[in-house]
Amino acid sequence: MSKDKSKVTNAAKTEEAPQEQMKLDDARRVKVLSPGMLVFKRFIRNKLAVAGIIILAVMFVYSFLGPIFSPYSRAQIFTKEIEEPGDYATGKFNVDSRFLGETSTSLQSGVLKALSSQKKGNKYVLTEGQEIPFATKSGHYTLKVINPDESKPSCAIYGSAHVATCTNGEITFSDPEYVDDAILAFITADGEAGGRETELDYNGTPISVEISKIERKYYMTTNEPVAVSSYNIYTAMLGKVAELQSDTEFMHSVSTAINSGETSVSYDNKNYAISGDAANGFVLSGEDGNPLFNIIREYRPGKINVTVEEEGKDPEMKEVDFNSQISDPAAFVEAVGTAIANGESSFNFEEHDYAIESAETEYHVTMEDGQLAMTVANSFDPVESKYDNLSSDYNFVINAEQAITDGASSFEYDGETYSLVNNGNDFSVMNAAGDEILLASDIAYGPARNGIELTVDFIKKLQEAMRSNESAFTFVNQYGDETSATINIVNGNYYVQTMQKTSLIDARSPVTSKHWLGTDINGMDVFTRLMYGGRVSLIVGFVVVFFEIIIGVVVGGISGYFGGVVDTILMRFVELFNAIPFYPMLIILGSVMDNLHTDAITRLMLTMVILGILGWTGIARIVRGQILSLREQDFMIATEATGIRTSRRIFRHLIPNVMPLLIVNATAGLGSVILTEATLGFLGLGVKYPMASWGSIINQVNDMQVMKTAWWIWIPAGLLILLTVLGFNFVGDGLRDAFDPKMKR
Amino acid sequence: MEAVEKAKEAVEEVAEKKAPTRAEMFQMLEQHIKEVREEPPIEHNPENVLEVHNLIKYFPIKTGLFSRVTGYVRAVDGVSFNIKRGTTMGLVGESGCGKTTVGKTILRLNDKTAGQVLFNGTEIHDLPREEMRKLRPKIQMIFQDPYSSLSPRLPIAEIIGEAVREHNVVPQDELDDYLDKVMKQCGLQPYHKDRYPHEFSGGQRQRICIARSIALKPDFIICDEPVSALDVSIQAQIINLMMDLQQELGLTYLFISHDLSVVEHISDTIGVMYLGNMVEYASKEQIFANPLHPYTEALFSAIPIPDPDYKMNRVILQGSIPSPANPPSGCKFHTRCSKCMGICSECAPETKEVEPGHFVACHLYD
Repeated sequence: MSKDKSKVTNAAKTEEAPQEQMKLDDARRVKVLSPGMLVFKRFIRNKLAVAGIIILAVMFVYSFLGPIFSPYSRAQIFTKEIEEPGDYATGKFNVDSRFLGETSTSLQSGVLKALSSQKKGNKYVLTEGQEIPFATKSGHYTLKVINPDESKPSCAIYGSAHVATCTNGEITFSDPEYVDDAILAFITADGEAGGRETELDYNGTPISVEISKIERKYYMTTNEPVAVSSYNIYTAMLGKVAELQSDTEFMHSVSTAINSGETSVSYDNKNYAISGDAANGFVLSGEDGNPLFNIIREYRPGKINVTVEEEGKDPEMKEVDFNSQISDPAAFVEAVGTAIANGESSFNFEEHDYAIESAETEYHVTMEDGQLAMTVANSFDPVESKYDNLSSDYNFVINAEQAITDGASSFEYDGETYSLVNNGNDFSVMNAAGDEILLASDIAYGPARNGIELTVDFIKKLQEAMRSNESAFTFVNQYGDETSATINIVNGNYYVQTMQKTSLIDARSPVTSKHWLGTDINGMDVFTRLMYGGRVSLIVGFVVVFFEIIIGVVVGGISGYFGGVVDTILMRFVELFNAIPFYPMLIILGSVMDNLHTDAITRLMLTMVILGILGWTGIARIVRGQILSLREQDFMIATEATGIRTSRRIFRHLIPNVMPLLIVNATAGLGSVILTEATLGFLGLGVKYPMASWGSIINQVNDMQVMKTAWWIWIPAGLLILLTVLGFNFVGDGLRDAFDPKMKR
Repeated sequence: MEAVEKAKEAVEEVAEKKAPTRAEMFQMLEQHIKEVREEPPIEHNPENVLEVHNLIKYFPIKTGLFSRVTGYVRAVDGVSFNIKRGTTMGLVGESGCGKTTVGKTILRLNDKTAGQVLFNGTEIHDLPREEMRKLRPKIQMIFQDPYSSLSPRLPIAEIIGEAVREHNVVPQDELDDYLDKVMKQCGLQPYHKDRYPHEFSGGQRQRICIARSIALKPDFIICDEPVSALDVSIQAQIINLMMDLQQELGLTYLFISHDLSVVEHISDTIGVMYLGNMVEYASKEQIFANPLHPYTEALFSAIPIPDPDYKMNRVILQGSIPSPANPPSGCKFHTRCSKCMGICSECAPETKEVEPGHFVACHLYD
């Protein structure tokens, strides 16, 4: 009723208004605004505050809505494609022979294969003394079981000589370096002449290795002679003979003649006759028929390496006389003598084969040796990848190589016949069906990296180019594209380069229409990254300040309102928190999280919690102080005197008086929390990849190159922090002024 | 020889009496509080709105780490008076004599130490909290400082109307009109309702304070130096307003002031306080015509007379008011009294009714 009346009177008044004289205190002069509206009105009259609000609004829209419209995702890495010459393949004239031989590794795998063939289930079924033959790429070996343990047998490996021992499933080479060093020497030997001897150093003991070359193949024998048989020449006391005896050239030709079974030798235009036999000795007679010398065969044992095994001790290598290693040296000498006398090149003694080689004036007796390695001059490349197994088959390659060396047009291997076609500079290996399967040439080549498959066309074009010294050619690559290639020759290697598309991370790209603020050092779009960074920075700010205010108001409020002992205890507690060193704590936490590899989200949460926990004390003190002073104000006593409820006293009278201070502190706090977070990010302790924060974006300025050349990475992030903090401060100031009713309207 | 010894003993006795130790003092005070608390309830006279008997308010002095009570500040030390319905009692005394404490203790803004405060026959200090809250509107207070007694963040309508709404003094839908009425009564315009306290002058603020009090339809208002913060012309306006309201609404005032001329203007009875004690209490006419207590005499002699030719017969008090924590023994005024006698320093004077309705506590009238 009363309201209706007042409306009527108001309406009546407004009608009369033109005639009525306005008074200074006329009720109609005053626009009645609600307190909230008044605050708002005062706030929007403050230009700085409005500027702050606009800045913050822009920041929020940019950070929270921006990512929705951004075409790029948070941690999208951009790449750029460039064409640049890249190595495609290499070619080389096969001047040095290529090694296809044995290594200790391949021997080991052979042994293991041989052993596992005797396995039933998980157990070895072996008997002592059992011999297991096995082969590797380069030779045949025998495994002799020493201890037929079910789970850990030990075996000796025999090639032609004792090579290695296999104990407890582990292979111990009696002389692994021997094998490998010999191979090394073999490879490095230039092989110009056959019969080259190389000395290898093994533990200070020289071991001699002979390398022989047959046509284009090189064979290596690894045994030293176990015995040497030679002829000594005894002189008769005849005048001119002494001269002859000291003439080594004469002696040499005599020895050669005897070795080759001739009955006469001519030297210095004089003929000498040889009579007698190997068993009883030879007699050299002059032209006049007078005997000049008695020639008697001499036998001396060589030195050999023997592995001495003693129980409880590691096997040991010793150099011993060969004679001490055979049961009956006299019988061995006889056997050698017989074999030489019979002109045999090998003999068997005590279950071992020995070879006899005539070396000028001497016969060298060696134990029959195996072939440990071979080199071939040609490279055999499969035309298609399905023929890979043939090109890597040692024996197949030997056969093919032999056939090429022999000039044969076909060869047999493994029951099949393969034919060879001479293409002038290279050979094609055809199978029985007439398909080209391998290409053998003195040019070796290979792709520069995995993924490049060399086509036959490329191989042929490359060979052509290499032979005709051309520096460029075109070929059809594996995808059927015509490609041009250039050849660079470095140290006899032909490097084939083609233009290739390379994908590079588009890092530090300057400002373009595609990247409005360029890209950072990881190739991510800075403009988009800043949006996500803003989200994190703003969320951190708000959450942390929210925490701070909740804890601060509760603690400060309780402390101030109740006072006394509660106040004392809580304020000591606040001082305790204030005494925690802020940055060291954060830095320690950061490195702990680094060590624990905490994921990005947990890291963010923990950082917020820690910032909140360490930061509430200021607000608690402010609230307490404010409430303490308000509590004693007359208007609070008046509320008690008028009998107003406690809850109303707190929420209508105390809180509104604390609010402005709280709001100002909270907004200023927001700015400082964002700054703290940025500082942590800059120190590399804050948010981690793939998340971003403005601080961690600025962190990239640690790179001097970025600081000097890539302003777009760090300047915008810095500006955003600056603007946001300014915005919060402006709004905070504006709110404080607006909340303060003493401000002029 | 005997005489000499006797004299010595007497001297020692006197010395002992004059200087009781702190602990002894404390013991004595504790004993005194206990005695006053055990006094039988006084009889209620329906004519009186407020009856105060032997009101004691001691503030404890705490010392040491554990805040042990070792002494008392004797802010109000046995004050008794009655206020009749519809009258005004002035309470005067120099600063620090306990006037405001009396007011606040009557309102139960401070808890009393001992004594009795009867409001319409009800002992206020014995009421449970919630009942006390409900009684609050009946006893109101106007504060000395109009600047700090208004919540700065509430508009005037809210300041005045909040408690009215809280206690349902008027029905909710009449509240607006009621506030208009109250504000007009107090010389405020209705359009002031939405303004904030900082937009008003001191006098207007004090009007707001008065409006806040009378809006609750109280029986009794304690005015704690309501005009001392205002300039003289405004003082007169406020005093007149208060007197008008008293007539209009039949209010009873306890008017606390140190300004005797204001008190003379408004009061029916006057009590004079010195250091927590009521030294003289009488009707305005009696006390101004015949001030009996030397302190009252000294006080009244300080009232300025607006006549340049008038030769004032001032009674000048020596020294300053002693500390209520350690007041002089006997009559508390004896250290400054011009008519001090031997007994004054030894024995506290009883309050005596020298003439009808004129009470004085002084050994001169024993």
